[in-house]
Amino acid sequence: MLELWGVLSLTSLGVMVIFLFSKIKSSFAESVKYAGYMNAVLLSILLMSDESEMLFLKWEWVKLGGYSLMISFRFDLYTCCFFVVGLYVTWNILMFSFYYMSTDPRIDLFCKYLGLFLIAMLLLVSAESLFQLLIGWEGVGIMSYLLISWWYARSDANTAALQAIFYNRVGDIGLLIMLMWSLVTLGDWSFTGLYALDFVNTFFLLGVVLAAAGKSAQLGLHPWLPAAMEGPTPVSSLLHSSTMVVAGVFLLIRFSPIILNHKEIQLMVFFLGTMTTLFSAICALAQNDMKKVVAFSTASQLGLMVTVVAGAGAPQLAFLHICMHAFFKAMLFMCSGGFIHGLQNEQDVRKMGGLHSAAPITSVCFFIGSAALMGVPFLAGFFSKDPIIEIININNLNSWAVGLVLIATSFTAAYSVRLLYFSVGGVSRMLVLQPMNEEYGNLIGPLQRLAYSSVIAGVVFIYFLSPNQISCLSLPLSLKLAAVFVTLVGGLIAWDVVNLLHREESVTNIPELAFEAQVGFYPLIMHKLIPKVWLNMGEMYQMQVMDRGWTELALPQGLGGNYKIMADNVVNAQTSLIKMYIAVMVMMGGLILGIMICL
Amino acid sequence: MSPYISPLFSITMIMSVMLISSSGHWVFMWLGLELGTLAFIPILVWWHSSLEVEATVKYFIVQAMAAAVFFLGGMVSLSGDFMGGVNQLMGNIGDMMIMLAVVTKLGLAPFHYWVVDVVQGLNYIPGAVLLTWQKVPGLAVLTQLATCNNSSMLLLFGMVSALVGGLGGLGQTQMRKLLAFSSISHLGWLVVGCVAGSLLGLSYFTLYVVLSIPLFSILHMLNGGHLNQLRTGLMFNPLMSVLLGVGFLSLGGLPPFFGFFGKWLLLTHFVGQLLLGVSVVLITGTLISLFYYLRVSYLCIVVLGPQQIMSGLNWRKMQLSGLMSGLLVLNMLGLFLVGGASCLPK
Repeated sequence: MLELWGVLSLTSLGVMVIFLFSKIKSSFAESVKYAGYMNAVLLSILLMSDESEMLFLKWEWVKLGGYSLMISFRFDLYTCCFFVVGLYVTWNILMFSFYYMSTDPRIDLFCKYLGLFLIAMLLLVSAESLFQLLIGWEGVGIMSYLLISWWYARSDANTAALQAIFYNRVGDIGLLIMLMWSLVTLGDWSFTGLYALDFVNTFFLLGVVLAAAGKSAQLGLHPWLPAAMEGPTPVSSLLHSSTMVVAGVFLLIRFSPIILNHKEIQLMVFFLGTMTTLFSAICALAQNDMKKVVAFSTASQLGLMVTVVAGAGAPQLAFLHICMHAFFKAMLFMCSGGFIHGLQNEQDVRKMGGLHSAAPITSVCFFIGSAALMGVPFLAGFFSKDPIIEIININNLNSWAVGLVLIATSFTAAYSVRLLYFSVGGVSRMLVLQPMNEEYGNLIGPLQRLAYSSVIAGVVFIYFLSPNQISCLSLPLSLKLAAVFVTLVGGLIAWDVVNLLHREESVTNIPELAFEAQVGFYPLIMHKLIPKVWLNMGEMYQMQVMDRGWTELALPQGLGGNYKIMADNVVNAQTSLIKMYIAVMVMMGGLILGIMICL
Repeated sequence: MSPYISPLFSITMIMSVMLISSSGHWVFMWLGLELGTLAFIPILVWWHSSLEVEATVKYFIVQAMAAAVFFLGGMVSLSGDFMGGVNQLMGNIGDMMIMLAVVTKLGLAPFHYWVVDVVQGLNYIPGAVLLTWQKVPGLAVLTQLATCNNSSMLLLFGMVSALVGGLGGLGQTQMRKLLAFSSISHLGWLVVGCVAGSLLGLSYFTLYVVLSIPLFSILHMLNGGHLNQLRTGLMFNPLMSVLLGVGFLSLGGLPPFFGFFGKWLLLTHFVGQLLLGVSVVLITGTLISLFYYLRVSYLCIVVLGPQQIMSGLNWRKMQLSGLMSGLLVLNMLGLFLVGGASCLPK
């Protein structure tokens, strides 16, 4: 039964790939939807079946003397769950992009790109060997590049796409390290082979961390994520919810059994995650671009997932958060896209306000999404975020990092409330006569579907993705309520502060805000200062001193001159006089014979 | 001269090589060398132009002198002991004289002066025969002579040849002189190859012949004596001009082409036999010579000569397409040919 449905779901995915080539874009969206249904059935059968928890579908692709390259799909709980979530969210995003991109002349190609993006991600998630993972990984990278630079006439979009590909390339080094190490040491790329290792290699794990940090935009390799907002909103929506950025977290989840055996790496990932979550939350506080706020909130949530995967040792929770996050984050982006589209591509929250009366349904969805993001009890985010914070609270790795997570949690509430206040609430500050309008089925439909799932998905998913650690179920009241409490406090403070700042006489030029608005000056330092230093050094030392100086003098000029002198000697010997030739030859022959005799 | 007599000369030239390679005694080798030279001289003066006559006289004088030295060397070695067989007579002065004579006949580096002048005076076709087929008798003797006693001397000659061939061509603008220097450079590789193993020398020689004869033929067709004349080739016969450029790159030993694989094969064996210094010198010489090969290819492929504005490229002219496609296939399929050659005993 399980095998049968595995084959059927694979077939439905294959049909989806075939529909990718069809000329009618809505039929592709339909195929994504039905593939999602098939996989939902597969998931339920997997959950009901007792005898086997996992399903492999594999066949041998290439056999190279002793080493065989298998194509195999690993259908465990993670894969099946992610298939359902990814297909469902992508279907909605495709429908949304019919609305958002309806005036784009290349909308068909756009939908194909989105489909390829999804397929690469599904390949990544279902990969059983590192090689297959690499294919999906690079596919996601390429498609993100193409999609972010969709409006290629804008230089910002091109810059953002290049940032994405460069930072991801740094991360890909980590993946290549993993591949090389496992090929050289094990001769095997399959996960089963790697799990069976009884020793843990630091080098390999550092590769895992680097790869995950690059893909999931952890601190240090993060600037591409907010920059990727230059792409169309459906792209941001897909990129931030169910593809690309969660790939790094997913890699960590796949390798969590190995990471958890290595204390130092575990601590390192823990710090990386907490710092990312706090830094991104701080940056999100002062952004005025609507999509940037949502983007930084994604980065912050990714940090939280990374934290819990290693720090708390609960990969199930991280995965649960991936799924929940996919629902409400896709919806948040769609809502922003609706606002932005309705306001004729105005992204600045200072020029919004009062949208609750102009676009009530979108506003309600935006509120639900923000509430789910904050972790308001019994919405989707609550079921993943609350256990995460509880489980981090009770672990004994590092109390400083735990503190950072709590602060970041309160900041989540703060920037969400601020964003809601500026865009949805208050009075309208937009230009007059905006064609704000919700009468589009492709806008409202996906929003409603995702809003329903943002409300109920947590209740459904917690049944089969509950954490293995039982300890978080019995906590003292103070720790149990910590997450809700800090969220409440953060939200209230933010509400007050925003109210305060919104008055006419209030001080608006706060120097501390510059750090946040400039996102920690990181892009300024990394993209401007350091390249400038390198370029100057290259110009001064390499270019002027070496390339146009000494090496030029010594090698091209000097060698050329010397060869010319030698060549002149050789050519001058060609006197065209046979007498001279014979004389030289006889002398040379005599010399050689003389040397031979003397020796 | 009557064309009916040329088969006689050709057959005599072939017979001379067979005589040399089948004989074990120096007298018959000398006889074969002389026969080959004498049969070749009428071909050299086929058209009776003054340049040809001068070149032929120079060729004859040098060959005759070398033959005399060869005979003298044979007599000297005969006077040393009376065992007669060449292979037993190594290391003494007579043997060295024979070797010097053969080297002179081949035109190896310190004795190369005549090659450039003679080739410059000849047409392309006799020049091609001189630089390819007429090397066979000398090489046949040399492979029988090359043993441990004089191999170091041959290695030295080979290295000097590669360098001189590279340096001499640098400033040349005459195509025939350029080809002569290129031939000297290749001869250096060839001789070192002969020392490293006679089959290596044979395969490299085959490669050189196969590469250079189409080039000589194309040059003969384009009828360009000066480097600048090649520029017009792209206008009048673009395919052939491009193939000429590609052929020169191959002759220079640039990696994707056939010529590279011959050098690679030789280098593999040189390094295997620890001839590291020799390899470095040979590569240096080839690197220098690559400069003028590149210049020729540049003129053939990249540069358009002065032309009328309205005249387009003449892509339809497909003269001698068999020759051209042969050259092209040869240059592209080098890998397969060398794959067979690499099965040679090391």
